[in-house]
Amino acid sequence: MTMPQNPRHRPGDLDHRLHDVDLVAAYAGEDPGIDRDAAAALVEACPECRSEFALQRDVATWMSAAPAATLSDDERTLLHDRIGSAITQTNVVSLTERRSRRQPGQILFRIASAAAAVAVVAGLGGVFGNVGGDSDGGEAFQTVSAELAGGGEQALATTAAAGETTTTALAFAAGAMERTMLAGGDAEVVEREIEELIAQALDEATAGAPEDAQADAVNAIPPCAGAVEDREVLLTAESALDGEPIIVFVVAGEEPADGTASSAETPEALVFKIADCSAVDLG
Amino acid sequence: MTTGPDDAALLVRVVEGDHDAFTVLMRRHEDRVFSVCLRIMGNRTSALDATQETFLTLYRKANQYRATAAVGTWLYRIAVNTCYDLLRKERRRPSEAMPSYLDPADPHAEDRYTSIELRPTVEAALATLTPDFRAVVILSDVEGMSLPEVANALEVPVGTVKSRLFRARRQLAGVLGNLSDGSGHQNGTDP
Repeated sequence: MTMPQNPRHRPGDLDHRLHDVDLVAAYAGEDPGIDRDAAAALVEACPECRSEFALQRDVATWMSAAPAATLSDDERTLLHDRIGSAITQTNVVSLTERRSRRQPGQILFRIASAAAAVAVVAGLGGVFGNVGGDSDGGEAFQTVSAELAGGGEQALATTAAAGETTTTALAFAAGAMERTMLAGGDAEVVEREIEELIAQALDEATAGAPEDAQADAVNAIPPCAGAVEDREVLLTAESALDGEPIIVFVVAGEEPADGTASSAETPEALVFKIADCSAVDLG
Repeated sequence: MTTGPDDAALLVRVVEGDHDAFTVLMRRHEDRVFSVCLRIMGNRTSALDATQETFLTLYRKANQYRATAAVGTWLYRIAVNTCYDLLRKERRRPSEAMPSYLDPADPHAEDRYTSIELRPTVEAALATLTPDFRAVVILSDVEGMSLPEVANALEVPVGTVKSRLFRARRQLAGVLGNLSDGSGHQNGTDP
């Protein structure tokens, strides 16, 4: 393959307001969707456009002649292994398959466990009041109750510390109370697990209903639930970071800082050590 | 030339849980997806990660495909968005990848000499563009997609594609001119 010379033009000062630069660019790229006669006439009639056309065409030609990039044999094998492994290990299945796995009993179980949690907290309410009385530096006590609200579940996080009891409403998406147990590992492994969870959360949000039916999922109020404050929890999972138990909350993304649509949809992961609910920064 | 079931038919089978259909689809598109990811990411390690995430996303979201665009175009859209996400993550932490000019030459290029001599220049030039501009040039000029296809893949109007393409090529012309001079500085003389 013969490569053309590197284009040596310098960008000129073709004024966007005076020239149809979009047409020049499309013509240079030989786009079939343009009026070629009009483009040719424009380039012919305008010296600046002609110069710009030559520049645009040279760059386009130069880029199109770039050598093809393909996977090496090793990379291809690695890619297939990793994808096969990811699909198998994370039990990623099609939504059709997931829907068919979901049993009506799971919904009832979810409601029952949430109702039970409400009852537990009602019983513990007085205990918290007593404990807080004389304690000024004691460890915070934390628990969470849950009740169904709309399509999802709303949790009330009750924290008793230094004599004060506060209750915070937490928003849990449908299915977020059902938490998954992950294998864990070092920071890199945990990061991978979190990426999978976030992807799963996006899937759930799109499907509009709880879908997961993993056999080892646990239905209970998650530890450290109060630490997520007012964020909407989409998914919850327990894992281990270098052997230390952690809990991961995948929460709905906040308003996008950069205004892009993709970031607006992207949930975030909040990670805490289960032992003391301190935040974990995976870097 | 592609033989066997078309992409859309394969995707329907993927939604139904057919892993073999997914494998066929992946083998059919993996090199082009990798190529796009490599040009955007600038190194093979990140490109391989992006390719992996692209196909995992395809697998997970196969049911969301709407036949308003070709499967290949939809796949490019996923690939570009995946690359954008990875680039955002890389910006948030120090890069561990080698600079693109240290990347080994593509062993499968038609002409090894051409690959070794010129590929770093192409990628170095692309690396000077913002991701938005880079993606337009890669899809249009390198991959040969039509402007409406690029617009569909990037989810922007065709006019935006034309405008970005125009400005990106101008920027590239300056960069490529400098690189071919070997000076690394703006050439002060007329072309």
